[in-house]
Amino acid sequence: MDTSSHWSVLQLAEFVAVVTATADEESLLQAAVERAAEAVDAEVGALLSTDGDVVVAVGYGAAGPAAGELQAAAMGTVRAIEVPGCGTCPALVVPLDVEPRGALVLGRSGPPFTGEEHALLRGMGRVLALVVQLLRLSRSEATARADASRLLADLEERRALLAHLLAIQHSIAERIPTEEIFDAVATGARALMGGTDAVGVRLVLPGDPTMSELVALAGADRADFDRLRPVTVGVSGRAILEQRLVVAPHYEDDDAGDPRLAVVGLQAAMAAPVFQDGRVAGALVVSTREHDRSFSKHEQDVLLLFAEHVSLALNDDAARRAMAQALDDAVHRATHDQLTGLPNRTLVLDRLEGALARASRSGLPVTVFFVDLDRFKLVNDFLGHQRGDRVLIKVGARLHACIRPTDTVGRLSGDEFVVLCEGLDAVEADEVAARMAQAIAAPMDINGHDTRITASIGIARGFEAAIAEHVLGDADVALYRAKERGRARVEHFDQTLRDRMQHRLRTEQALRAALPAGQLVLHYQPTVWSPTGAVIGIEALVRWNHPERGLVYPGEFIEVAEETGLIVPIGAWVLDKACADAVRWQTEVPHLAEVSLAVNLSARQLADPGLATTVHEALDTSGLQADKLWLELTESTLMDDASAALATLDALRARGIRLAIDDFGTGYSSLSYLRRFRVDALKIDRSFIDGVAENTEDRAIVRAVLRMAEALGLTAVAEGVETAQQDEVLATLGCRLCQGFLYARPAPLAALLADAAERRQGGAAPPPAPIEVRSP
Amino acid sequence: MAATGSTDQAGTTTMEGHRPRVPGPTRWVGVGRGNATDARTAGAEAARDALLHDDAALLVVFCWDGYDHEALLDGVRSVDDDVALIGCSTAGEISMAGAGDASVVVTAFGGPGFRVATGAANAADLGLRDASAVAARCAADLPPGDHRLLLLLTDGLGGDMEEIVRGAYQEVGAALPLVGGCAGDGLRMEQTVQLHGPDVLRHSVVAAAISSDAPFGIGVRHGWSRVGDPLLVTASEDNRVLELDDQPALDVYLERLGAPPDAGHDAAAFTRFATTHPLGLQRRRGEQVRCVNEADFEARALVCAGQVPQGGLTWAMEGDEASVLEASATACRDALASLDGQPPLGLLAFDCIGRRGVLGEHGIQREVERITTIAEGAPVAGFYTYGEIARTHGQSGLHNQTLVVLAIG
Repeated sequence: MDTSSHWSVLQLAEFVAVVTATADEESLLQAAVERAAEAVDAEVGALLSTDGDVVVAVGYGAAGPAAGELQAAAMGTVRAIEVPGCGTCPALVVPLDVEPRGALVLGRSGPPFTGEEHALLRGMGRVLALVVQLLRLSRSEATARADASRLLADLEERRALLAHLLAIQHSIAERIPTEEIFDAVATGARALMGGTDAVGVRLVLPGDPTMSELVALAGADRADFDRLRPVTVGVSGRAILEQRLVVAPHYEDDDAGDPRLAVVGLQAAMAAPVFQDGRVAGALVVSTREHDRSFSKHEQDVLLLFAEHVSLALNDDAARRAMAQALDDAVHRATHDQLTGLPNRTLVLDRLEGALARASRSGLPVTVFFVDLDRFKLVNDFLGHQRGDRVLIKVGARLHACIRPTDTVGRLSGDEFVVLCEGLDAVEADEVAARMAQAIAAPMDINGHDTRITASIGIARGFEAAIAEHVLGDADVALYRAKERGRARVEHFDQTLRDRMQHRLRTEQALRAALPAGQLVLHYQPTVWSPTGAVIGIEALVRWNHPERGLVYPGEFIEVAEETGLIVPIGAWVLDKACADAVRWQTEVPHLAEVSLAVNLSARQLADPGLATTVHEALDTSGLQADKLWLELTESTLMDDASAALATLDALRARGIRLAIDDFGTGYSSLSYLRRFRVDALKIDRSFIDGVAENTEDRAIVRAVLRMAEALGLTAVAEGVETAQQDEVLATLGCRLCQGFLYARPAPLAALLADAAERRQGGAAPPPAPIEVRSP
Repeated sequence: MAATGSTDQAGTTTMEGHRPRVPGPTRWVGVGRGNATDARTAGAEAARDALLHDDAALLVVFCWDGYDHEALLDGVRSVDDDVALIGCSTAGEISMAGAGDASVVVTAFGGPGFRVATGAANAADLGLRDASAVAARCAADLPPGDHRLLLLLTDGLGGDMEEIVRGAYQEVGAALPLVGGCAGDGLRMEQTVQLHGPDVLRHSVVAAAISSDAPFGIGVRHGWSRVGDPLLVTASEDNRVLELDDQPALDVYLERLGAPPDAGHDAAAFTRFATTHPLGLQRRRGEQVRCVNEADFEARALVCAGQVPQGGLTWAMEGDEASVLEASATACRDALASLDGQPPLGLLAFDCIGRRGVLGEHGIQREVERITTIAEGAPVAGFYTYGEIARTHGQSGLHNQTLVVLAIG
């Protein structure tokens, strides 16, 4: 349940509870001013009598307020008052037009008072007036006649009033439909009026302010009253037009009376206006067929109070609608380009996905046109950005004119537009492309400048099971070809697609051969304790020593290995080899004796049921201690695949193997999976480390990750540290475990061993004892 | 880190026991701690380390409720008997050496830039509100100035603590921020002690109005969040919640939060449970947290540390170590942010006993480490309270389950 928007309703409920519980007038007034001020965070509050005397003042300390200023505020001649220690602040004034009269004045140092707060304070004013009146009545009765029964009745009445108000407010808080709240108001008001009258709520029609509609009625048959009625008729109409309480004690003779109702026996009526957003929105009306029925002052106040509740319900409903509108706006902003109002990349991809799903059913492809303006930069340079923007807006409109209403035109960025069309064959797609090119090329009048611009267009066609981003990427590749071939052209994707697929196929074949041919090699990169440079851990990184292409990095082949499943045998080889190498450095280099090994695991490996066996075998064969092996997983791997692999991970952990999250911060970075998978370390992604020295945002992220790691008792490692400045900033942030070119580049085992030996000979300070990187 | 060190030392000229004290060149703040079992010795120890110079204007004493408080004051005053003093018993003391029990922490404000006036009043005689107003009356003795505040320490077992804030506010108004805490008695919930000059008081409010040449900063954070559906307060009287959703409040509370069975009839078990399960009230600026202090097993009612008004909605609240620790760091930084970029002379922390319950004995040490780290070497003192006071905007100023940090600029 969302409660933020009806904060004021709850405040009023609490206010009612407090003031009705107070026994004497003096403390009642004091409490009322205090609670009113507390509710809206006002520093000062005062209650003034009609004569301008300050009856209660809070927030002024022992010195008290300057009465003159408060009087001026109460009369409306000043709109700000002095708040001690805070200077001159906005004032909120609520005139109390019933006893004890006068005005309630509040001042606060925070933001100006809102409409909702005005409404809340008006409601509090009504409650206050009513309770004071009841209190005075019972006191005078008590002193005059000591009439115990009257006192009891009075207390009973207060209790009943409170119960009705709380019920209504609870209804508002719980988002009961507005109509039901109006029913509750009508029923509650009727009960407090002695239960014999009819009570109704009339609201002005939103589309026609001259008419009102009966939306709730208690104590009478709806058939006796017009559902719709001009506001010029009746007591309720007059209350609406004059925006005040209207009482007609002799209905038949009253100007405000509706002659037709007088005929059916209505004797007396009164109505109070209700407000929405400061404007009159309708009326709460009581009518009676009882002879000699008069409406007491007290009953008039009850009606006014209940009218305030109708206002609150209306405002709450309006607040809800305003919030829904704001949400719609936010969604629109998030999915549309600000400049042109066209769908942005997010929405384009979303629509493309939808279209591809339909394509798989219909068998007809989705055509994606990637439209890019030729030499648009020159337009910006010569005509300025404002005119450049106008060109973009016009291009968007012209593209729109070329397509069917069901098609989509979106703007991705700069001068890149995308058009999605469903159900076009190849010929039709060419026709649409030609039409768009022609439309864009037509002369444009931009603030009196005759402007001409052409576009290049790439076309890709997505069939069933295609991935939206790939299809969009395909169209982008075709566009590239169009630009390459001299601009103002249209190109199709087909050939390029085949090329890329062939390339992928070739990579796969070569990769299959690479492992038995001994073309895969491992390089090692240390993680160091930055203050001393002592090596704490060493990560194994796979490289492909390609016979033609030279040393190939994982970015170029791991994806293919993943997709083809080759990653499983490759991963097993990496584990075997790296464990054996780790035992070598541990035995051959004394100060690397305790240094652990880190090996990356991919999603496919994690999903492989044989993973635990593979790892156990690697450890058993090499003799590496399990607690010297760290397995590194990326965030996305854990999010996507690891639920199923939880048992495997638990089995590995049980042996003492530890888990680290690679590239931390690039994915969901959620605490829950860190807990769930009982991770031991986080490696902060290099993209944050890149900017940590200059970019405050990156630094804030790194700081937050470090703090989180600390709170969870995890080790944090900075990846990709390249400069001394980064090292320095990381040290001040408390991050001492670092990996990156600044300390050591990845290198073959031989180079690592030689370097370690050299360091020892070079008389470097003895490394510290290995650091226990995780508190138990 | 455990609070086992013999004393804290602050400042640069610390020499065990025999420091020659001369007036400070400017304003200064010192914190000392005594752990001796003998109250007089502990008091003297703490005061000696806090009093860096001999021109102190105010001593603030936070101490174990189990001490002989007359003897403790004798010890403190044996070092300097000519300085204003306020203090109270606690549910745990905080200093740079950590958080712990059975000790005394003394904070000294001194130097020519501080001016201080103190007051005290008995709430058993006057009522909470008037007692608070009378104690706060000392603020009138301060010269006017930009940087003033009222430090309030009060009995924490005496009913609706909001009345304490209202009383002081009525006296000093919006011109002075209010900061402080409700005294504790190590969760026994029997009796707390307040200290004023040479006097040991009970059921009382003590106040120190402080004026300084530099700004004060105040940070307030809780780190709790709502859990589950809201409950309507269908019947309450001041700080007693009688019914929630038309059912006996105690039963609804225990059932909704899955309390252990013995919390339903055993007072100690209930208090253990309730300190980590507060209620939240909807307020204009987010929710305000209310501690549940006791259960009335007969009436099946909850007794809270402040008013829970009938007709309002309330939520069960929960927090974990991470959120509570994060709130501590943020409160400190918020407090320091008001010091115009100057490093603080010292920090006072008023930390809820309920947060101690969530953090555990290990966690509270981490919390204090965080506070001292952010303090950048400035001395830190504080205590675990039964209610925290911080009024900077508006009129409300009673908090529960919250850390209030005062940074002295």
